[in-house]
Parts: sequence; structure tokens; C-alpha cells
Amino acid sequence: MATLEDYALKSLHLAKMTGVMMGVHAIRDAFLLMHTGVGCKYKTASQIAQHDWATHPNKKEGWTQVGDRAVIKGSADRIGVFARSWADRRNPGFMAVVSALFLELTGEDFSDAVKKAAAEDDFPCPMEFISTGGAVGDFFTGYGEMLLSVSRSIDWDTEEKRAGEVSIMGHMFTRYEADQRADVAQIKGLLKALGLAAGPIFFSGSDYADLSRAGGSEHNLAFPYASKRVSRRLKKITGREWSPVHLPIGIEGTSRWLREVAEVTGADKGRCESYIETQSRKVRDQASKIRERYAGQAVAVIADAPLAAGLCSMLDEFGFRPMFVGLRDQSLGNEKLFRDWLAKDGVELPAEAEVIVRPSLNQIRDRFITMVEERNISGVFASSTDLNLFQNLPMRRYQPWQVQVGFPTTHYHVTYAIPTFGYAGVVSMAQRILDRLLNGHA
Amino acid sequence: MSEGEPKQLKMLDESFWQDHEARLRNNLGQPCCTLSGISTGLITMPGDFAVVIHGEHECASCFHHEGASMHRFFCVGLNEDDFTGGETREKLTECLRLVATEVKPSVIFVLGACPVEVIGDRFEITVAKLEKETGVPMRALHTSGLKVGTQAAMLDWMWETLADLPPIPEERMKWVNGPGYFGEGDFRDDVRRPPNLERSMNLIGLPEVRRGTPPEWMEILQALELDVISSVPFGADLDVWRSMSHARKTFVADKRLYPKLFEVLEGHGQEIVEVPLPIGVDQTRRFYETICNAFDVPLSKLDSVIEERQSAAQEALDAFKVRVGGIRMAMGIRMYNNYRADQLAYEGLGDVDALAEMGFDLTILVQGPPEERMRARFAETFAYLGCTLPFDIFPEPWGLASRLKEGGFDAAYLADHCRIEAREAQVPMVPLRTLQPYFAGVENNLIRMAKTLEEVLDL
Repeated sequence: MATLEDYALKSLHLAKMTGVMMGVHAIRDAFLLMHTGVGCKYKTASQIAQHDWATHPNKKEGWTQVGDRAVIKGSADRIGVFARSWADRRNPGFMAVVSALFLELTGEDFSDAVKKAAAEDDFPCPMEFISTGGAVGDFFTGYGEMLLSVSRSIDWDTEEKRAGEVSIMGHMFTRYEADQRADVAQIKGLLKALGLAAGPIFFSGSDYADLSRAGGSEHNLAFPYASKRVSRRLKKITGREWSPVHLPIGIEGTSRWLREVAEVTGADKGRCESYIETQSRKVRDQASKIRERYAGQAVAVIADAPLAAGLCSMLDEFGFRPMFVGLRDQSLGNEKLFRDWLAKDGVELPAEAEVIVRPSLNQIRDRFITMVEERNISGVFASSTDLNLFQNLPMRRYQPWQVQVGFPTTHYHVTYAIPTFGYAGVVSMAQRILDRLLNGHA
Repeated sequence: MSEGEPKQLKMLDESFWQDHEARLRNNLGQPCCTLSGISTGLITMPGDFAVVIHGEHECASCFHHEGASMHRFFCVGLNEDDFTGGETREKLTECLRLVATEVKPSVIFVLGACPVEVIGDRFEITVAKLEKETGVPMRALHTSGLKVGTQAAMLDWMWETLADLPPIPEERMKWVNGPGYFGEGDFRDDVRRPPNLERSMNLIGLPEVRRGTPPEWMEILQALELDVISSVPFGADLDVWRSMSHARKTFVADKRLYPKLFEVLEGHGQEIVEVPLPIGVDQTRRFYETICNAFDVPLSKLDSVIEERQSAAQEALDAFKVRVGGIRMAMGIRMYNNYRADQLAYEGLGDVDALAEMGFDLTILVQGPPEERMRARFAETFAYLGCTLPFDIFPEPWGLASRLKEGGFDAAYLADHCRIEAREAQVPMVPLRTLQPYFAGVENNLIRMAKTLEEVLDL
């Protein structure tokens, strides 16, 4: 028996097509051709545009202009024409083509149309069809499909390997602003600290040509945004193992990440431990500024499972108590991934903490109302979508302090490097929290 | 494929592509999905209603999930089997029953999606059945992106639907402005009285005023003893829409845009009167004058009410105009697909008079197909609207940088996604439709212009 919650709009109700576009956006010179209805245009660049103030995604998408007449007459022939025209205009490094369920219901073979167009001698770049019709999957499934599609277009049979180079699959890169660039820089810096070099990171705002070098990397890591399902398929496509690691968030999370990477790459463990010791000591000093003054505050976290786990681990280090956690994803491992991660970091949620999987906006709003009425939560970490609920609560005199995280963060933009990853991410988050706490909330 | 074929293929591609681009661009503004547009309108509108999207979950991604009613959106979540088997009724019935009984809204809007339209699902029958069963009023709208239409037609359809809901009885109706109202829901009961319906009006499609500031017209129209029943869409909730049938007259920015809505309002005996977009001194003055004329309010009375504001605005304007000294400004139109009525009004030319009175030497840059036949069409439209400014056509925003440079423009008034292009051209840019309305907005607009253009002013 279904409940109202089953039908309610979710905190992250964006679906596969948006995820594919996010992947396209995260490759500097990729292009998305939408063989869809006009409304699908709002599922892609439009969802990202207000989130990314650095690079406008509109430039990276085109539409085959399907309307009712095209559905009746057959629409597959349009794909080649529009693909060639847009390739001429944009000169992309990679082109993804998506379709919509209502078109797939007509039984036309769009995959074949894309293959034929891509096989033409003078088609200038790899082009892959990604079906976004169908009810299964979420935003992260779409991003995962882009990981797979790009991987399929790359030559993995390179004999020569670049020693010590690490390719990473499944990094979530949502914008070209300084916070996301800083996260990429943190990944590179952490690998360097282990004596390794970062190879292509799927995706990280690089060009397609850079990604296509991945076959030459000696080591391969899979971040959680390459879900287990995606990783299994990646193994088949690439013929190599992708070692799963969590995200380097928080002091313990980053230290564990370094140890795990050192383990799978054979990096010098003594060097690793020495780096961890120096860095974590420095950062603990910074974190103590919050811990000594605000330890015990109850907070809420609403994010996809990997990010939520990393944040809860970090917040525990600040002395906060995550009392309400909403996990926004459907396909990344969800509560299991979340709890496994916390267990590995040695973090135990308070006994009364509530963890909700795929909460709806309706449900989150109810929780927010309780938070405001009972004042039992001091701070909330969530996307701008979730936090927007606070704007329309019946009583607005008291509000918890709020920190925007995840996607989208349309009311949080940055002008300098503010990472979430690595030891520097702990210091940055400490500053972000302090700014809120000291802004009349504490 | 023979040697010559790829080249020939590309030539055919080009003509096919251009034909299709032109097909869309012949329409006013950019094409629009009615599911996306109406969802965007409803999610930002407060009120006791719910929205059910009758489609797959993917369809619920076609609008931003932010707004006053975001928690009252539901999606039936149909899958391939539901569509191919034609079995959509069961899930829709279950969803509607849950929403009706647990949320208990005063009305449920059921919006269709493309797959539902493709299979010819007559879901309005299920909706009517559930309306009868639950007693909750429901409206089934066959929205989708299949019939590519205009943003204005979408707004007209949504607004007609809202205005056509059963009106709130006169004694309980909501009205937005009259004695004792001080904005933001703040009434003083001691001076409040029911609106004088003989001197009451609706305002449609006016620009949004910065949040937290009551629009200037509240005070001015109160002083003129005119009452405003509704101002839509910005800030209007469902009850405002359901009260608008009680007004005697409706004032609208661009009368051509909403014929279906006007049919409803005229059915209630209302007179529809066109007003300019009240941006800048002259247009604001004409806005108030038009209202006064329609209600036979002597202009001398208007003068006495607005004299101080108008003089202050004019004085600031005159001082600014000296500094501008004919700076060349490019103003873009047909660049947005944001469903905003003030953007759609007068083909996007609503700000022209305000910029011209600031002293800018304006050139209109029209986003559209650059062929000669389209140039002639645009010229006709401009002539119809009384706009005699020079104009140029550009096919898409990317590449505007070179056009701004080549055109020798000193400043630009363009869609906000053109910032990168403007920066590349080193032309200071103010985003389109950010000028604040009414006399109260004039000084802010001038300050903003001065700060943005300070490098090119006074040269």
C-alpha cells in the first residue's frame, strides 16, 4: 500500500537526464544533444545555471526540436543532422545524446541512429547515446552513465603505464567555481603527499583529451559516485580493477583515505603516516576553536550518502551531534554506505538520531517546523533546495544557522578556494560554520 | 558514401537546421513546455493547493524545485509498463486519493506530461471521478512539451485556469490594497474597510518589486481612493487569484498576451485597460495617468499625490543624463525563457523608454535568425510597438563578445547568462529586466547604472 510520501516530490527529485548533463558540464569541451521534448531542456542546463556562476552550461547543449509532428512522422533521422550541425558549431571533444521516454515509446532505434552518425568518417568527436527514458535510476545514475559512456570511448589497451599515476572515476564535479576546483586541487595534493601523481579525474572540469589519457595510469580509484553497479560495468569496459575509496572529508576521513590509497597503490606507508600526523595535528588545532565553544550542538544534514557520511564524520570532529540525516540519493548505496563509512571513521550517531532515506520536501518541511518549534536543532547542512523550505515556514522568527552543501547551492557562491576535501576542507568548513555561528545565531 | 557526399550532406544539414531554428524563432520569445511553465508558476505561488504531475519521475525535473509550495508537489511516477499497458489510472487514483485525504487542499491541479499525451491518456476522466469521490475540486490540464508553444500562451492558460476557479465570496474575498493596508500582510484593523468595488481593479503583469518593499502604487492608489483587489502574478497567492473576479477593471502590461484570461474577466463585466510597464519616470507617470483616466480621477489630483516623488525622480534623472552623454548601449531582447510576464510584455521592449530617458544611445540586439525575411518581420513588430531604434539580429548568445566589440558599444543590457561574453568584450553589463519599477525605483536604477558603468561614464 503506497503512502503520500511515495508520491511526494523528493529533496533531490532530479533524474537521469540532469545527471547526464552534470557529467557533460563537468567535461570542459563536452556537448549534450537532447533528442527530447522542449520541456527536457529545463532538466539540463537550466538546473545547473544558477548553481554555477563560473561557466554557463547553456553553451553546451542543443536540442533536436522534437514536437508532436516529429513524433508522428518519426524522429530518429533528426539526430544525425543536429549532431553534425552542433559539432560544426561547437567543436566538442565528446558528445552525449539523450532521449526521453515518450520518444522511446515509439519504438524507434535512437541508439542506432547515434551509432551511424558517429561512425561517419568526418564526425569530429566520439558520440555516445544514453537512454534517459524509464523509471529506474536517479540523478546519480545519469552521472554514472556519463562515466560509462566516456569510458567506452577511450582506448584502455595502452601498454605503457605512467608509474605512480592515479586515475579516479566517480568524482562529482558540479561547477567551475573555486570551491570545486579547490577539491580537485586537494585530491591532487593528497596524492602528491603520497608520492603519487593525479591522472585523469572523471570528472573534474578537464577537457576530453585529458580524460582520454586514462588508459596510461598505473592505478585506478573509484569514488562513491561511481556506484557499485557502475564500477562493475567499468571493470568490463576498461579491463581493470577500480579500487573503491570514500571521499577525503574530515580529519579521520582524509587520514583513512590516505591510508587506503597508500595500501592499494603500494605508496610508502611511513611517508603517509608522517604526513597524516603533521597535517591532522594542525587541523585539530583549528577545529578545536569550534569544539571548545560549541560542542554538543545538534545539527541536521541532508545530502547524498557519500557527502552526508563525510560531513557527519567531520561534524563529529567539531563536537556537533547529527540528530537528523536525510539521504538524498537512490543509487549510491544509501544508508548502507552511510553507516559503513561512519563505522570506519569510528563515528557513532547519537541513539536518538533519525536517518531518513530519500526524504520528500514535504517530510523535510515537517521536520523543519519541529526544529523551529522545539528549537532542538542548531544548524542545518543542506542544498539550497532543502533550505528554501525555511523561507516559507509559517513561523520564521527563529531559524537554525544554515550551511549550503551539495547540489544545488544556488545561494552559495565563492570567489576563492574553499574546499570540502582534505585537511584544508576541515579548516574551510570550520570557517564557514563560524561565520554562521557568529552571525547572530549562537 | 562517395567522395562528394559528406560535403553535400553538410549543406543539407545546414538548410534543415536553419529551417527548424527559424520555425521556432518565428514565435514570440523562445518555445515553451507547458508542464515546465505551469509548474514553475505554481511552485512559487503560496496557497492552499496541491499539484500532481501525471507522468514519470523524470518529468518532474523540468522545473526548479524551489518556492512557497514546493512541499505540495507530487508525482505519480509512471513507468514503461504503465505507459505501454495503458494502465495509468490506478496510480493516479491512488495518488489523488492520498493527496485529497491527507493534504486536504482546496484544489488539486493535475498536470500531464509528454508520455501521457503520446498514449492519449484521458486522465481528466479519472480526475473528475476522484473530484466527485473526495469532494476536493480538481483541474486536469493536458500540459506537455509536445505542442511547442509560446511562453505567453502558457501563462494565459495557467492564469485563465486560476482566475476561473470558483471565486471567494465577496464578503470573504482577499484584496491586496486599500485603506489600512501597509504591505506584507500588515493590516491596521481600525482603519480597514471593505474595498470600494466600484473603484477597484486588478493589476496584471507588472514588474516585481524588491522583496520586502511594498510597491509604491499601494500608497499612491490609496491616496487616490482606488482599491486593488489583485496584483498578479508576483506575490499573489491562490486566494488573490480567486478574488480577482470582484474587481471592476483590469490593468495589464501588454494587452495582446492573455486573451483567454481576459475572456474570463470580461465575463465578470470587467473592462481591460492596457498600461505601460511602469519603469522610469515617463512610463510610471503614464501608468498612473491611465488608471486615473479609466476611473475619471482628475489628473490634478494625481499631480498632487505624486508631485514630490516625480520631481525627485526627475531631478535625479536629469543629473544622471548629463553624465551619460549618449553612451552607446546594446539592449538584448528575446533572450530569456523564464516565463516572466514583465519580460514578455511588449516583446521585451518594456525598458526601452526608461533607458532612453537616462540618455543612452540604444541599439536593440535581437536574438533570432539573421535572415532578411526575419529582419523585415522584426522591423514590422518594432514599428507596431512604436519603436524606431536601430536593431541588429544575432543567432545565439555565444559570440556576442565580438558583436559588442565590433558594434563599438560602451555598455550592455543583456540576459544574465551573457556576463562572460560582456566581460570578454570588456563592456560593462547590467542584466536585463533588473530595473526597478515606479518612481521609487528610479534613483536605485540610476545608482546601479552609475556603479556598473562608472568606467565609461563622464569620459
